[in-house]
Amino acid sequence: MTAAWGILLIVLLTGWSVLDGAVQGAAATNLGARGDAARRVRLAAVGPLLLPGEVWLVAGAGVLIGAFPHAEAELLHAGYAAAIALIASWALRDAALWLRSRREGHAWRATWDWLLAAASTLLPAAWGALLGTAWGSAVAVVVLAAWSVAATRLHGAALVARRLGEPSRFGWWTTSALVATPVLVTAVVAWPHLMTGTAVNGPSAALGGVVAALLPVLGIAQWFAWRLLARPLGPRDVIFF
Amino acid sequence: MSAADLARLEFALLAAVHFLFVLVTLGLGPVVAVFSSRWARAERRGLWQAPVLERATRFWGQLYLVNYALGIAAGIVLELQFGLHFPGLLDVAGEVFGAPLAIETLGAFFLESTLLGLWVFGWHVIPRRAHALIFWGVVATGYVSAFTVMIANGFLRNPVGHELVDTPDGPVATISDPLALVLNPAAVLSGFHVVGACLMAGGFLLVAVGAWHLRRGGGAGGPWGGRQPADIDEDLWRRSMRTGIVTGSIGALLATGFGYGQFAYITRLDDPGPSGGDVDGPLDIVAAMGLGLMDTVANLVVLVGIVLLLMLIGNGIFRMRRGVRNALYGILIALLPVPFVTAVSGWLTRELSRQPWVVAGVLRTDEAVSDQPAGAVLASLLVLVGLMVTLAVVDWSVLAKLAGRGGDRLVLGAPPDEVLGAETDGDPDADLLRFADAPAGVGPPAGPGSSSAVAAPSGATRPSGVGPSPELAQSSGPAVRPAPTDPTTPEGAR
Repeated sequence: MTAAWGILLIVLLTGWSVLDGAVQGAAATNLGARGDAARRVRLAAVGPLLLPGEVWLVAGAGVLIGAFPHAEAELLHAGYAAAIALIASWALRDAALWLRSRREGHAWRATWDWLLAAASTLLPAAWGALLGTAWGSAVAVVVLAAWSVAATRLHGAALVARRLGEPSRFGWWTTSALVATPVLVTAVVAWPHLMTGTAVNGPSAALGGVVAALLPVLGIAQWFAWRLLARPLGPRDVIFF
Repeated sequence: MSAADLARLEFALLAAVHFLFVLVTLGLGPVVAVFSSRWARAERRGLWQAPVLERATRFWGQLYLVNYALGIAAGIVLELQFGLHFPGLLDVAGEVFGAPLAIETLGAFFLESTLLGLWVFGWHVIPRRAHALIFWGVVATGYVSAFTVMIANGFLRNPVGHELVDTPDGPVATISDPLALVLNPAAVLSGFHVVGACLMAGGFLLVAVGAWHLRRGGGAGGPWGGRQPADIDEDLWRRSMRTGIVTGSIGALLATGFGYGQFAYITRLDDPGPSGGDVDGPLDIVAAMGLGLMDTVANLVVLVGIVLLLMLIGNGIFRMRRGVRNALYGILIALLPVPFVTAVSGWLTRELSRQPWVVAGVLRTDEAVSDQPAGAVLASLLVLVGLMVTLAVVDWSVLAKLAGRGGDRLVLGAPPDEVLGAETDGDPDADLLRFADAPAGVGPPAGPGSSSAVAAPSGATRPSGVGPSPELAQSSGPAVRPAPTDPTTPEGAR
């Protein structure tokens, strides 16, 4: 039972790093695109991933609170600074994406583009650092932070290339594996610790029942969302960001 | 200040910011859903209202989205506060308090955000009726979210459905009666009370924005307003005001009724419990003032709502003499902050009157706080609260600007060539955008006055030959994907 919760947690965190990692990577490198329209097209390529993607980490945090409250409290205690950096950069990244194109001024958009790139670099770095904290080693903190930043950039570029129909150095399956690696390796390292981080009597059975009933619905909604988004960008797409 | 005080202050400020966005999300959601469904129906039946309903859906949907964006961010920041600063709460009541939060994030919010993504980005792909239905799904999951959060919060206020089990680490709460937890009056009554407050806030927003545009536009009916709206814009703002008055009145009734309903358990809990509490501290005075404010506002809004509802008969509110009309509109615009101030003071009243308990009678707040040094908590308070308040203010300024701009140049639901076309004037990279050049028949259906008419102002100012064109598309270099050109195969366009 506890193991099932652990697997669900890993699936959610892996899903987040793959889906949101593409948004982070594309946003972090968006300053390189010349011209406002070109930047908007790149954001449009990953934009639809934002809403159905970032919820995977919100749900992961929910599983931590619901099933592994002790592990969560311990992780956030040890990785306090990384956790604050993670949520601050996440909030800033979201605000920058939603607000940059809402006004026309050049200064307005240039400022948000800069903030977007900074927040989208800090976000994977803080994520890698938090994963490294779960290892309990300073080296892991640095290595995973650097890995996450580099991997999300490649991943974002691969996904933008795929949706714009441009050639890309790496396939998006390869880059997905690269961004997922830190999560999967950390899962293996921290697994015993996670299993002892549950509520006193283990995760509640009532909660498990509700979640098991919900999962198919969530799966169907997500499947529709990704079917819609896996195709190349075309005239039926929406440019909002 | 101690680390515990700082952690509480940080939570209170972040929750207040989050709550301001939630009010608009839940208050505006049903309105956008109704506009969206009516638009789908009007379009299918070829009714004359289709263009104005499309505008209403896109205008209010866009405000909903820009508000929702910061609501998510503020919610995420809030969610992690429990683990960061109140681990004791999870230690003692993690199973009971964490279960509803887990269902909220994993179920309701997960689905809500996925559906909202489908609604925004599937605008031109999903059939109109299914598209409207998806937004109803967004609204429903949003409300389920609110109620699950109220179940968690209601447990703190009125801990039912649990039993304390002794463990080596001290007593731990486990769920003994899930139904009692869900049907907790502190969750259900307060949940409906909050829903009422949200609808009221949504109503005030609809009325204020509608009134602002009507006051500025003046209408075409001379000193007395016309019986029928003069143009599509006046129609949109009249509809917004009518909808707002109805929504706000329903909200005020719900908020008032379920507000008084809560006294049953609030007074029962006034007993400070075995450990005692500061019954007459300064915080309790704030709580009492909040209660007085809510009482006054609720009664006034219900009364004024009835008067405004009566004035809707025969469009009376839009047909008074101009001076009187503009004075009334001015007052309604100035009242916009009222539901927001009232709701935040209501939240403060609820939370402050529970202190010194985090779980009433079970766990004191100072026992639940983490052992982070005060300096670290202060740093997080400055970073997170500073960031969220700044972003919130910027977001509201953008919302005000979008609301003031009205139904022109709406980005939500616009075809991509329209969005980018307005921006590529003189841009040397314009040919990058040829993918967005919709072949005839592939774009969304453009009835009279629909998106194509909305596009007219920006389209007219575009210098000819600079915007994306089929000629450019055919002369594209190898690095850029050719544009889909065959309108008969929508699959190819995907």
